[in-house]
Amino acid sequence: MSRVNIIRKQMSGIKKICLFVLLMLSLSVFFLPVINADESSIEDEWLNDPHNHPDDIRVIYIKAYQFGFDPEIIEVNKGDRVIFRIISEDVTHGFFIDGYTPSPVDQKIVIEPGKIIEIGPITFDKPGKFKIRCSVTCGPLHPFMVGDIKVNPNFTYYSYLVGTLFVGMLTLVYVRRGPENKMLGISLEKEIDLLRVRGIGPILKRILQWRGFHFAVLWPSLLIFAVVIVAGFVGNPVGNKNFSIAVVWILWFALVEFMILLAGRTWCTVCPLPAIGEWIARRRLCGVHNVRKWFALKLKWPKRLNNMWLGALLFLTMSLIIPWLVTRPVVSGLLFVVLIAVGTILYITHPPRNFCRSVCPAGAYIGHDSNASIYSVRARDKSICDKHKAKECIRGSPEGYGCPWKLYPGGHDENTYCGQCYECLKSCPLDNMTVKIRMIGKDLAHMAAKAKNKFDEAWMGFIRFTLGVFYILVFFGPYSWIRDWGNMGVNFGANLASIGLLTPGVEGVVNWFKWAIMVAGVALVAYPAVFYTFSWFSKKVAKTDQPTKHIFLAFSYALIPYIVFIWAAFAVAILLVFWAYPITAFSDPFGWGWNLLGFKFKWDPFIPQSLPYVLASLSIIGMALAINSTYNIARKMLGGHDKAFRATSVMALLHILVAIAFVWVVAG
Amino acid sequence: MKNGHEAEKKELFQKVRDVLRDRYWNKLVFGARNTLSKDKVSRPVHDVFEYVYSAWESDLDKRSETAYSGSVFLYSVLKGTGRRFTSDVTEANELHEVGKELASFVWEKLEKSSSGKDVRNGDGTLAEIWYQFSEYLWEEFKSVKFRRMEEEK
Ligand code: SF4
Ligand SMILES: [Cu+2]
Repeated sequence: MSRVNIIRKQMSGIKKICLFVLLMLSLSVFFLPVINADESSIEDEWLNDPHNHPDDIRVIYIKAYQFGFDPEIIEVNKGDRVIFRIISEDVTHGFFIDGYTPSPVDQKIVIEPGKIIEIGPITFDKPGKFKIRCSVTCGPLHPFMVGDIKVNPNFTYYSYLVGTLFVGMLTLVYVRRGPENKMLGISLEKEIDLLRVRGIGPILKRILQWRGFHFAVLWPSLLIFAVVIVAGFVGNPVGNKNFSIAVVWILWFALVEFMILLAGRTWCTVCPLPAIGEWIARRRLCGVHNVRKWFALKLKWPKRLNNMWLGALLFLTMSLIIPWLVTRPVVSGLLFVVLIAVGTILYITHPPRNFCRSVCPAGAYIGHDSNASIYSVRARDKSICDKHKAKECIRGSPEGYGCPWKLYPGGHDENTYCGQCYECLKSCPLDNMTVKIRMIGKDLAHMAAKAKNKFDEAWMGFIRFTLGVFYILVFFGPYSWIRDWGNMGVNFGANLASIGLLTPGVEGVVNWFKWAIMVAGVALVAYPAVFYTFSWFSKKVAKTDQPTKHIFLAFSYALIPYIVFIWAAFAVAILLVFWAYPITAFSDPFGWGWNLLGFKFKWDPFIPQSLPYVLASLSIIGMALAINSTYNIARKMLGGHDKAFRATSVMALLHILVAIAFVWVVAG
Repeated sequence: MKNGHEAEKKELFQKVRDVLRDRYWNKLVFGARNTLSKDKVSRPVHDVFEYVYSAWESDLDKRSETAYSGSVFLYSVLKGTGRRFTSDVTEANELHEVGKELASFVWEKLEKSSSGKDVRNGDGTLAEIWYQFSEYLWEEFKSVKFRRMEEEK
């Protein structure tokens, strides 16, 4: 791909023409029908701006291609008046600058191949970093066809850099004072018994203890899921017009992130994947069996798989093919069919929820992250549980099943494997189970203290954390080559018909491997190695004789709130930019032009210019929570405040550095 | 052997009576509108018999099902007294414990018989025990109630 600026400066007209003719001659043998003289002359015309613009106007030449803009990053100065002269290298594209061009609904800028489009003059009066986006569906990765424009001096960036440092230091100063069992000033001991809150509490309690509740929420989600699968196979192959992509990878993906923070594993309450298997195995849709005979094999789940590894690695694998997954409805459809089949079968062979505990990639990350949630299902009074012998929450009672997640609900002190099915609320004869709202990070310290050999949870954290940062770079960054690598080439598998027919080619496969090694390498090796190094330093600085391994594993739990906020940032970006797709998908699920609900929305980002601020702020909050969590963990593990503080200050350095990198990605 | 069995049975009868008297009968509402029947008085025992029989018939695991029957007993009591929960952990433990004992007793009877059917209706062991049990509880209940009415006077 020609890098326009360089060519423009270095080649004289004659040289260029000679070279071009030579090239044409040699290539025309292969591409006779494809290349025509028109295009070359368009390129010439494009570069030879005929207008005599006034002196104060800058002309910027942009070439749009699948899936990016050339140049990838444009820098202007505040106050510049700019005319963009744009051509397309391949297919029809669009052009939209966050906060500068009018809404694409009112006035869509279209760049057809073979035509030169001039936009402007635009006066760049707001400093900061803004995204240039394609506004015309142009292929599978169209939604992520993004370039950067920086309006210097980039005050947003500088102030967020200073802000990150300041908040990081402030958090350190705060923990220096030795706050015990607190998170950013809020006590971790305070909990609200949600089911006893006046007004809403009793209503919620009745709903959650109602036997029909689970079924009532499951069938709508199962219905939506069915539409997702059907749309995946028969719907419009353009991802953003297809229900399966728009609803799963935009709406679900984003909402789950907020759900994790505010309502823990609520997704698992409504998840359709194991539902069918559960109904079959229980031989009931809502009620409790009068005889506890299951329609299931009840095979023993292998001990080796009784952890998060499988789910974590599946999550990573899915992330490696995410560029196809989120842009090809068929691929998504296939994935969901496989997931629901495995979920159903495993429930019948290995009941109860071993699939959810150890296999489901979504279950793995949602469970892991929900430890930073403010929401928890807990015993109201643990001392009652201690005295209670029968423990119906484990075994089941005529009103509710025993915990399908193989837990002892009365003893819950972490969210990881609590699928929030609320069976314990029904089965406990003492009405001792409830929902407790608490401050973020309450359980992290004691979880970390028990983490002696839980490498699975630590690595789930590393995978989630690095991918959170990475996704923002890949999907909302200017570097189209990363996207191409992950995508196995520009148009590989662009539509239904070409799946399997179009091979990515050797180069495509090699590139994908580069991408996979890069992503997996950072997630599984590089970042954990850095984390280990910092843990080792913090051990030295704290002068403790705890093994580095323990410190390393324990401190990894401090990442959980950070992860949740980084992913919330990603979710905000998805929603603000793509909100129109999922809403429209309900009206036209297959992308066939239906209008079932009487509304349709065109792509129209909602205040996208606010994204750098929102995203950077969220990461700073995450960082502060991570630093404070590290301190709480250290305090529990290393004993005294002094050691804890010293260990924390080393880890804080890492967290601050990462936050700075993040601010650079979103605002710099 | 026969005597041992009788003694065991008697002990169990008494245990069940005690816990029902303390935890169940005294919470049943007396009055004109609530006709108290033999059936209602021995309901929890009946439920355990029923449950154990069907669990045994379905080849389920003895240990876990007899333990579960303790909950059946407890919930029968709760339901009979118009409650969904109890807040008294001692009560829950007691009822569960007695229910469980009762269930193992029944289960063992079933194990000793050759087939379920004869125990249930035919030659009588289990059916007979059930009959004796409900008669016994009814008599006991009446005397308790009578005593209570005397006291109230
Ligand atoms: S939650 Fe309920 S059933 Fe479970 S141990 Fe506690 S009191 Fe018992
Ligand atoms: Cu485009």
